[in-house]
Amino acid sequence: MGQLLAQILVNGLISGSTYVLVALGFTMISGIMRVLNFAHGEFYMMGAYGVYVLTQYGLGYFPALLIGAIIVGAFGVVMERLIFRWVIGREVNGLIVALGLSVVLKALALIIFGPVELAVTRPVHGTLDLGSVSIPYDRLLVGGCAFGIMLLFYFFLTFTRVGLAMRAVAQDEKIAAIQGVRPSFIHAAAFGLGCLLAGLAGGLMAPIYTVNPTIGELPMGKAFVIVILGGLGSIPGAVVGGLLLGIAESFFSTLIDGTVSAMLVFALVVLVIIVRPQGLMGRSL
Amino acid sequence: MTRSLLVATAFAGLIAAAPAHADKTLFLGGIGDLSGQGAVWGQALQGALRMVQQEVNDAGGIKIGNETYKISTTTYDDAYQSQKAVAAANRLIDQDEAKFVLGPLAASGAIAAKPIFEQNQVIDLVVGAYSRKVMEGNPKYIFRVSNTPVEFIKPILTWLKANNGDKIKRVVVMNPNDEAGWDMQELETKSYAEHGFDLVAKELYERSTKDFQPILTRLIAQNPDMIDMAGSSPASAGLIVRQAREMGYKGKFIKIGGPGPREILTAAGKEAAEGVMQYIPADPSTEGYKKLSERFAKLYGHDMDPSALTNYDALKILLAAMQKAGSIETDKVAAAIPQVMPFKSIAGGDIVLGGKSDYGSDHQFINPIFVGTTTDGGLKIVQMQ
Amino acid sequence: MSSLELDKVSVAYGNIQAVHEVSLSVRQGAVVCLLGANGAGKSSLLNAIIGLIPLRGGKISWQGRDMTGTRAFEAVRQGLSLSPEGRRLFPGLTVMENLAMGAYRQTRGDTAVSLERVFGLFPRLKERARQRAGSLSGGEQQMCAIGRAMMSNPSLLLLDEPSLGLAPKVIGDVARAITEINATGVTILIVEQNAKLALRLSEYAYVLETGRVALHGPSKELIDDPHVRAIYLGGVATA
Repeated sequence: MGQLLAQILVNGLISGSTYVLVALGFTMISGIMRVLNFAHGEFYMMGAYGVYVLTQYGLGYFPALLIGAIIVGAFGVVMERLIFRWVIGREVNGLIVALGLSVVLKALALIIFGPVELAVTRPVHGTLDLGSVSIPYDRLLVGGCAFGIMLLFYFFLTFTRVGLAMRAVAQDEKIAAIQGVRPSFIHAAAFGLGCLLAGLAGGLMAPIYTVNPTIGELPMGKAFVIVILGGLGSIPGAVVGGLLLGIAESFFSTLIDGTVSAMLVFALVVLVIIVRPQGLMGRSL
Repeated sequence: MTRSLLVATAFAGLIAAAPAHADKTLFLGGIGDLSGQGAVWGQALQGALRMVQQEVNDAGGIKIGNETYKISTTTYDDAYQSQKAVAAANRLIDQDEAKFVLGPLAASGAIAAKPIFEQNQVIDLVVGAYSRKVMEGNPKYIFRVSNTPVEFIKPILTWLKANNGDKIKRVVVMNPNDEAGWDMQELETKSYAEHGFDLVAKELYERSTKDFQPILTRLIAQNPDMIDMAGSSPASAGLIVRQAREMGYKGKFIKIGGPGPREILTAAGKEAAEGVMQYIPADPSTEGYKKLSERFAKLYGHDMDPSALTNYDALKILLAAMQKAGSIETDKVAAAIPQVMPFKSIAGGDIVLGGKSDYGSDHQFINPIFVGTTTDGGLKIVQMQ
Repeated sequence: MSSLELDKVSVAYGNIQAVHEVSLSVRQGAVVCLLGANGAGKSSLLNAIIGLIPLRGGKISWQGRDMTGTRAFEAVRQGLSLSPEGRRLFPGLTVMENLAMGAYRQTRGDTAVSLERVFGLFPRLKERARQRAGSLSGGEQQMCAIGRAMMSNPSLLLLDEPSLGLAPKVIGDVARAITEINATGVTILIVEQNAKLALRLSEYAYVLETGRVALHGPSKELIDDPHVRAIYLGGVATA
């Protein structure tokens, strides 16, 4: 039993860590711009296709992951300047715009790549066997990278000037502006960074699963559950919520089954909404 | 440049239109998932329509009775959803005045659209749609053109018992948690028992699942000799194979359900996919298959899913029935379908009409049945008796 | 020579006009106060000067430069700084981070100098440097807000209700800091409901009533003005 619990925990932590990457960008964009970017899953999808295309051109996996994510981030900046800046602070309008963009991006992927499942060559093979717990190396890599990226993101927000300005804008945009922060710059930067994180998550998961135009839907759904769980706009909430969701899912679906697990997770979310409407960690960036 | 292109197009149009006084148009409608989970099968459906259209029109049309017909086709996307399948059926009948339709693929869509086709006396060639209800109630205009588990599960299990019976005793079945999955699970539970296998676990998972580790942790603990991915989508099946191998599972895999060798190989990776067995509706090593696959690749830029061949055969049967009837009146065509059977598949082997014992009427096309074993990235094919 | 010049400035929120053609001037290096009841348009005027609200009409200039239409994030480079009404600290950031935000446009070297100066003015902030601003007491929050405004090393400091809700002892500390800041040559425009305090700190005062300048003059004279005494000083005689 102890052995099984350890395996459940490891599985949950690894899948949870990838949920966190998607949720972080989603919650940050919502915190800074008051925009619920429901196209966030499609930026994840683009990151996965980015890795696929770049490795097809002979690039190594890691350069492809990085370059792909940067391209996705840059595309996010363009989308913010073209579309999202007009709906900042108007959550319903933003939601509709994002849903529209999501449909368009999926359709574009379908036109360009077709409905087929594409595979990205795995950077590592094999399974790490620790006796009681076995972890495939590629998942270990994904988990490690995800935690590394979380740490970098934390340092960025805490110790850099732009990171500080992002937190300030999230808390009080007008007062941040009179300190000399240009809000439009922070909006574009935050949106781009959020999309870059989603792109990284997509690129990390691409070799684990397959790539098709609809792969963004599932992580988007998870990210939404996580930010409700952790508190909309809350960075610590996204981390705690993501890991909690990963572990809860792993626990329930190993010990009971997948369907019951989905139900129980949903029940957990409803419970949080009723007991703590502001989420586990409240709203602060 | 654009201008000259326009002129050229107009000119080409004139030439094409010139002999129009002789030709009538035969419209073939399609309903398939072109954007969702079943898009691979939807594209195979659309591709079959386009290929039949292409070859008939290139040959100057098809002579039915005293008329020569050119074929035109349109396939509507139902995104694997029943309400969209109904909308597509209505649109085909009301706007396009379709009398012949291929699809839908999803059981729910086929069941929902069934009364519409029956009422309007439109021949509907259903593809996939693994549900008994599609064939119930003695439909007059509905034919199912692809094999379903009812047709192929027994031959496959008989073959398996004869060839691997000593090695495979404990079996685990995994199905998606929806109507198709439930039907499949019920049928497999019965069939595995009848063939003397020990079904140690039956798992229903949510269709959106990608991380099967938790489920597999539990299933592998049952020490199965074989995991059957049954009604799983090919991509899900591939992920199950890969993740189970990574978790140290050493037993066999089979997928007695909707085919998708390419997707399984892609999702599982060449190494993990080695030795995976699956139901295959056509033998890819035949000349007929290869030729059709090349034509498909020209249209879509990637390999053909085997189900396209079944669809292609079904459309050829339909056209043969029209010629036999000497008419495109649906009553006459429906009556002529049994007369053109058995029909030779382009990939060899006979397609016959059956289904009376299972569904109450002979409206089921029974196609040749194969099992493909993934070997070094390719498929080793065995035909079932 | 006058340095901040407002010429017939009007401010409106939608259809509601908050400030009607207000003209005023502040001499370089002076402390000038704006008195008035709640809703008289005092805060609106400060927000308009710093660029948080667009002008409906009129002109603003600072040290001879036209500031009309300057956007909020550009004002700090012109030497303007605001300690807003209700302090408006970033509650989730630490005291240190709030101060760092105040120096957002400063170089690293200048920031160190400004920080030393702010800690000199408010030693309490140094003790609280690692604490979240949201957890500070009212007085500490006000010190932090003024400190943050001073981090950009401004030439014109706009103070909006610095004494609001503070204990008398703390008000004294804040008042002393304002005098010290002014002594280093910073021009200060201060909005206050506590007229007694404001008139004591300033050399010149404007009284706003329903968005218009009702009265203005040297603070010493206004202290004895019967109208001001009746309405803003509660009839209490002052020293």
